[in-house]
Amino acid sequence: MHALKIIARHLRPYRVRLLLALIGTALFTFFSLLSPLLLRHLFDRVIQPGHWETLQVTALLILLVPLTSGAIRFFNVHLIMLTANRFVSGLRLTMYSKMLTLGPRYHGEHPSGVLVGRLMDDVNMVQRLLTGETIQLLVDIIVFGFAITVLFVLAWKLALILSVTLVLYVVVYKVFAGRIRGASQAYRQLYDEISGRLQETIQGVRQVRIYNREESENALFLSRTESSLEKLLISNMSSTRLSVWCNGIAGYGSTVIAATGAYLVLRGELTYGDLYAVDNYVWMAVNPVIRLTTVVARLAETFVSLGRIAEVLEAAPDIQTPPAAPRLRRGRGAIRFDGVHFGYSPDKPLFTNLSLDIPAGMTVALAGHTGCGKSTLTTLLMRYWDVTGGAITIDGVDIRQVNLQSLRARFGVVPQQQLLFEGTLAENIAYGLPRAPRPRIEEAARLAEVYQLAMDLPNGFDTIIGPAGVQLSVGEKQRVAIARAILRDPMVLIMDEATSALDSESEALIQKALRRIQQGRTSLVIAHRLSTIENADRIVVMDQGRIVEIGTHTELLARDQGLYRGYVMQLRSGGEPAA
Amino acid sequence: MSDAPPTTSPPTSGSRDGLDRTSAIIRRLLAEETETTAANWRADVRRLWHTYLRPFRGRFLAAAIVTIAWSFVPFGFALTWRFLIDHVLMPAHAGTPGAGLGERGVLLFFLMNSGIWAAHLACDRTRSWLVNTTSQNLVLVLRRDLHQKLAALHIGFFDRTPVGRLISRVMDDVNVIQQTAVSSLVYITGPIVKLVYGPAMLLYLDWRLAVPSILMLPVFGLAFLTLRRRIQRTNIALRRINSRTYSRAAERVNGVRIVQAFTRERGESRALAHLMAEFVRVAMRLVNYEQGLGLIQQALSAGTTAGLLFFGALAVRDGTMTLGDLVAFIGALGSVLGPVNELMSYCMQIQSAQVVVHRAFNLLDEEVTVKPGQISLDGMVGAIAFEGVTFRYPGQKRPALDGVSFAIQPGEKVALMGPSGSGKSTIFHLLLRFYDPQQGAVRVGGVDLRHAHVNSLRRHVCLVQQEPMLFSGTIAENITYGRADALPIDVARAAKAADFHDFVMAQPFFYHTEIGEGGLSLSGGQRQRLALATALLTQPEILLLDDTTSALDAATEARIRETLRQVLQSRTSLVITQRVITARDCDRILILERGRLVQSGTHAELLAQDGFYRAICEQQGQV
Repeated sequence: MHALKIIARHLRPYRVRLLLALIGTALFTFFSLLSPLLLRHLFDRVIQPGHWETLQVTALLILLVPLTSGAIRFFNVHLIMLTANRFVSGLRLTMYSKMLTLGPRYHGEHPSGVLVGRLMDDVNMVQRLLTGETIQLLVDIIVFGFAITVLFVLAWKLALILSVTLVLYVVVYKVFAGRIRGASQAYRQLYDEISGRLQETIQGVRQVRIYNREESENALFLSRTESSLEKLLISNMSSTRLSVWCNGIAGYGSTVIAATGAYLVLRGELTYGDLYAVDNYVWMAVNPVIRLTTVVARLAETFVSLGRIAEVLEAAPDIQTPPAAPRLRRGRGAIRFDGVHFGYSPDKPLFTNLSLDIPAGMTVALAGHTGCGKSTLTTLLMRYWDVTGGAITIDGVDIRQVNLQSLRARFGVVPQQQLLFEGTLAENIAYGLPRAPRPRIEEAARLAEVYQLAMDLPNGFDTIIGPAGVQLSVGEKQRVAIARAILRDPMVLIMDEATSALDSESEALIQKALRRIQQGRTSLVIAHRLSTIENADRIVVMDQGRIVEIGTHTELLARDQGLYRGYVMQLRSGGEPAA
Repeated sequence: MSDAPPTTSPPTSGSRDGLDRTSAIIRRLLAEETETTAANWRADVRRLWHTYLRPFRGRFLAAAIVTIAWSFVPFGFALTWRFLIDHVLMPAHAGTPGAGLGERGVLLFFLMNSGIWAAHLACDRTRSWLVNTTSQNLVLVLRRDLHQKLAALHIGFFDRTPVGRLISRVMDDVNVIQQTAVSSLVYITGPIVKLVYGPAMLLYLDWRLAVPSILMLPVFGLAFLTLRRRIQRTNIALRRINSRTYSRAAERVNGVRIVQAFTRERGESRALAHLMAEFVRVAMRLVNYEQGLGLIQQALSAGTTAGLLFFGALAVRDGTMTLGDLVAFIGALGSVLGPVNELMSYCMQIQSAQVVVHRAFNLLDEEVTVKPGQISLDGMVGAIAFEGVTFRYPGQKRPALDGVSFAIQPGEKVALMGPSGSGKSTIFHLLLRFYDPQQGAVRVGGVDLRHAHVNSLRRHVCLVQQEPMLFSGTIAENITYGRADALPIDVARAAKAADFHDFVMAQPFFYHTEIGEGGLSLSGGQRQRLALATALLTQPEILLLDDTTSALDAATEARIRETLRQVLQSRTSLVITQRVITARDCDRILILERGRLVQSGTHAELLAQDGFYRAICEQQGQV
């Protein structure tokens, strides 16, 4: 119900249109119900008594009533669909914008597949709710109410027979519903398993081939598909049986009613016109009840979707900025961690009272074993998380007091995992600066050693990369990510293990380039390679959330019992000391 | 975030400009990719019939007969009602001699209607069973064939085809076939039969009223045909907008850190708003077409009915027609106009099935470019030779390997080093015959791989990938992936050699612990060690390690190196590595640069030369 309230709030701007749509629906439904009464009039009041003078008017009405109903319906559907489509588009957009602003905690708890499912499938369910179920339900209620009333007025005895029929119908539905649901759930589950395995075997097609498992994967797929289809057949045939029962009850019910009605006509209690109208209205009363069960099942599904949508809309952002926060101006980039307290969960503090000064323009390397807090330090700096105590300042300004976008715009980040988006190479390099002129993109590409790669691609910088285009290797992706960060001309450069997948030669090339662009710029480098760390102006060695040593490479190496010394020894003997 | 999300710009429906813009959007969307329109639908149908449906032709025939029988039901009711009116309720109007059957007539009416209902329900039940079982079999066989095709297809095919597309070929597309192909092919006989004998029935009931009603049928169909193409085009455009929205959202939500780091939240929202605005326009265009069609048909049907009732009533007045005739005629008319729509909607269903069937056949017709050889490599020793091998990945300008020649003796340990993109992994791919070289030959055990039996090759050559793919299931299932019949003790031995056993023993269910979808619960290093254990269990003659220990720390790597040396004593191994420490113990080191073999020798030999290896040794402090 809470979810319903939230959706209702988003529907508020559309309330006038929705009201109009409801009125329109009621109107055209009403008109469409009149036809049997008109025919009854034709049979009983015009043809049988021979009032031929009113024939023309009656025929005209028989023409005009459906036409009016159709015309109202046309405009009404247009109104409903336009309202629904706009609402749904707006809802999707609001959710998407929200998702893009939510922090790492939320995204860590909600895999992207789940979120995209909400954005697409669940929102589609809401659209169906607006354009399908709600309208159908309204129409059905009106039709049922109207038909049953007319029936009781025309022939209450026949209406009573109908009521018994409807009760029977509900009983039968109850019997079958559970059986169908069970089988279709079992099918759904098997189907998902099959799809999941298929995805794995396609993604891991090399693994399958390496181990000669083609035949056994085929056999597994076939046997699972077979059993899923058995479940499907059970579910489908149960549905058929249900519909046969329903149609049987409705059919025999209406036959009994028609025969009884005919008997009443013989007895003179009913006219033929009445009987004709009754036969029509019986079906108008039965069909909504048959539909109701499917509509109710759908509504239940839709409510689940509504709950998931509301969860996104209601998610509280981790990071709050004062509404009128000033922008962070471009400064020299002096960073200061001042007695920072932080932990991902309150019971496990990572930093307690951590202080660190990074003078403007300096290149600082963060060293230490995995889990020591190197990466956390950089995410705090970019305000993906807020410190729980103390403060982080840039050029003396607390980062919580400035506009978040303006803060992040000052950083150039090369993250641990390189993610390129489907699009051209140029678009990917210019991701942080979409209007960058081509010469600047090429310059950034040259600096990050991407230029030669671009020249080797079929369409140069305009080659589409990603799943539908040319696939780049891990090292190549990393260089593109570096070019992306360089292009922004950031005040502070953050590289998080950015060169770990590069071979030594390309790393050496990039190091040279980086040294050039690091000049006059504050940079924080997390690297596991000696070559990266050695060249830093200052090295900060961390251990379990504490800063244990600070100094230059030579200074630190000179300390006999130093952690850094041991760290370097390990690097020398076998590459990266990562876990 | 303080930014209000941008709103979708409302389509200026009605204005000329708005209409043109919508048309332009649809045209653009349709032009961007050409739908695999079945050029030869007849060939597809013939193939579908001969390969998949022919075995069930008995059921098809039965279903068609049932459908035809079923289509007479509405006319049956029209006739019983005429009987009731003319012979029971209003015998005076009928003016027939044995007038007024009275209560016996009512009973007769009841029995006749009950009989028709029984037939109706029996038809429903029988047809549903026939159609369901037939399409179930079709789905099973089609899915089996598609999956077998995927298992046989060349690796290069998977490089250029997105995973999602392949899954939807096998799963979603086949669902469409299941839901539409069989049923619409069967059901379409109903409206066809109705359209043939319906007019005859009308003529029989009253030819004067029948002629104008029958003339309405083509008008009815024409309205449908004129709009059908437009509706279809609009539908395709709408689907494309949806799939574009989907893939865009998936990419951006997955890379939300990048979006935020580069402060592109607003830009991304704007891009989606643009897509959404197009969605509203195109969706409304579709609504207008569909509703317009409905309105036209409703007007036609209302006009016909009103006209018939008017002239019919006049005929009753003149005594040339009974009321029962008129009621029966109106009843029958509904079952003639109805089938026009039914027929058209089945046609549309068949058309959408046609696209899907064509796509399925396209996949089944995909050529297997690596032709299987016959020579078994069982019992061979692990000698490798590359003879002037040149290979270029499809769609790439530069060859990945350019005239590479080298030979490796059985039992030799060789390291491959070089910058990224220099062709190291390509050597492994050729050795496993994922691809064939354009020039030169790759030999294993003296046999040119083009003549070798692929399965026997892969039984003896095993690759551990840098980013190994694991399957959901238990650890044991993953380790035994290459040897399903392995004994637990062998599994444990392999895991120990890969330094993975201790980790397993710390898990709640040991070797029976589930590792989750794609093994995502494991770290990079754990995944690499599991993959290594899988490879070791198969005891390959030649082991290829593609930077397999890159995610491991130095101590672990050193341990694994030591055990590998014992395990692999007499076997050939090739290892791609970035680390001098790993390379230097090998018998030989091959250095590749831009697809060429530039240096070859032992650690000491290469260190004495100027070049890549010495540079890298200096970098890693190993001089």
